[in-house]
Amino acid sequence: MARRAPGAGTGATEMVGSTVAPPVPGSVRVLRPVRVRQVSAGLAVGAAVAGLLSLALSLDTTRFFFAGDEEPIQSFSRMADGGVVGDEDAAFDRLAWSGPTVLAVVLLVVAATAAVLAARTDRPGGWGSAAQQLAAGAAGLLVAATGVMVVFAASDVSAYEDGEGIVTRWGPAPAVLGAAAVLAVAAAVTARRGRAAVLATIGAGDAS
Amino acid sequence: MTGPAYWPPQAPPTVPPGVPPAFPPPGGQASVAWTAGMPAAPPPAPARPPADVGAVLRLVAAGLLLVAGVLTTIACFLTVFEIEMAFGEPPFEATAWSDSGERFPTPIRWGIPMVVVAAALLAGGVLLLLSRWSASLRGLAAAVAAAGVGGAVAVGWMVSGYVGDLAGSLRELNADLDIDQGLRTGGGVVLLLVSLWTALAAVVPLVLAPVLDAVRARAAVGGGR
Repeated sequence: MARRAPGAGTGATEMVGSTVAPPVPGSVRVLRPVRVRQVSAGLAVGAAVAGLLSLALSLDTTRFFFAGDEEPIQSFSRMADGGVVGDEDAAFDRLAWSGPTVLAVVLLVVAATAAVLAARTDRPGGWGSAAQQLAAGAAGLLVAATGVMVVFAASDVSAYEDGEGIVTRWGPAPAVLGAAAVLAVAAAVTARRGRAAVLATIGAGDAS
Repeated sequence: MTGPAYWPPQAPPTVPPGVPPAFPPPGGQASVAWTAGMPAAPPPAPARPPADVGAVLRLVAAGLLLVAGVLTTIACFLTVFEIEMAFGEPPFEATAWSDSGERFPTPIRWGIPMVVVAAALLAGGVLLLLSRWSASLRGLAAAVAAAGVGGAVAVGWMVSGYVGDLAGSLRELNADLDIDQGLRTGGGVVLLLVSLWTALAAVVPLVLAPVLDAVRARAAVGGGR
């Protein structure tokens, strides 16, 4: 992005970075965008994508067998909206995680935007704080949602050990949502870190 | 300015001898630079520093978070739901750690995420309280508080949704089999929902506090000029 540094007045053009308050009157510091906060934005986007992916995956899959048979007579997989894929009558209780996950994804997208804006100034300021708190809120949502899913699926899967003719296996959704939670925590931790490197200081009448 | 201005310069109006002045001079005859007109303005009171509303809001948020954390902790020890069974069977009661029925060998231990969320809420509240004396803690306190609120929302939303959906499934089963099995929502879910809304209420002062801090800082800079 090429843009003119305010106050340069000599035709000097800043190729990258942004400017903050001048160290001395009449001069402008040209800063490189803070890399770690750009990474924070990327982490938030990664967490949002992983959260969205978990909406398309199953929590667990249960299969019912007759003794000695290998082909299940019934099977169902629990999905994000609380619905099941397969034999719907076999699942009596249902758990939905789509609501908290969608809310977390929205927060993460806003956090990524705030982190990008925070990367354009030396001090993180208001944008950095907003990015950190939004990512932290999303991380809380994702961690808690993963925890609830895990304790629910652990109860389901325990039937694999004792149940006759019932096999329940974990689906990929808790792992993916857990990964999203880890990425969101990392985004929150890095949203306010780093200092900008000064690329140049442009005076009122000359560029250095 | 201490009196009326005349141009060109001339002597000020005088009172004829024997006629009392319409406006006696304050301070008697020794007063100088007196003239009729508006009374002198009182001396300016010493400037009071603007109230630290941001700190008050952080205290309010800390209180709400602590209340939400305590409620979530109590919810861990209460009944999540209870099902009145048909045919005179004993009721099925589920708490956050166990159940009295036979829902697979391992009951759903809602208490594990609830304890984690309660710890985050309490930690956020305590850090917000401590940030009154240590401004460097404000960022960490706000982040932990936000994470606790997010956790409270997720756990309250999912557990209450599960219980509500289970009640719906029971109603369908009752209609199909023509039996009467009712689900009673336990105090644990009620407290979780109260905790959810209490934690959400803490977000408002948490967001407003830094905004008011900035306004106060600007006012302080303006007053110093």
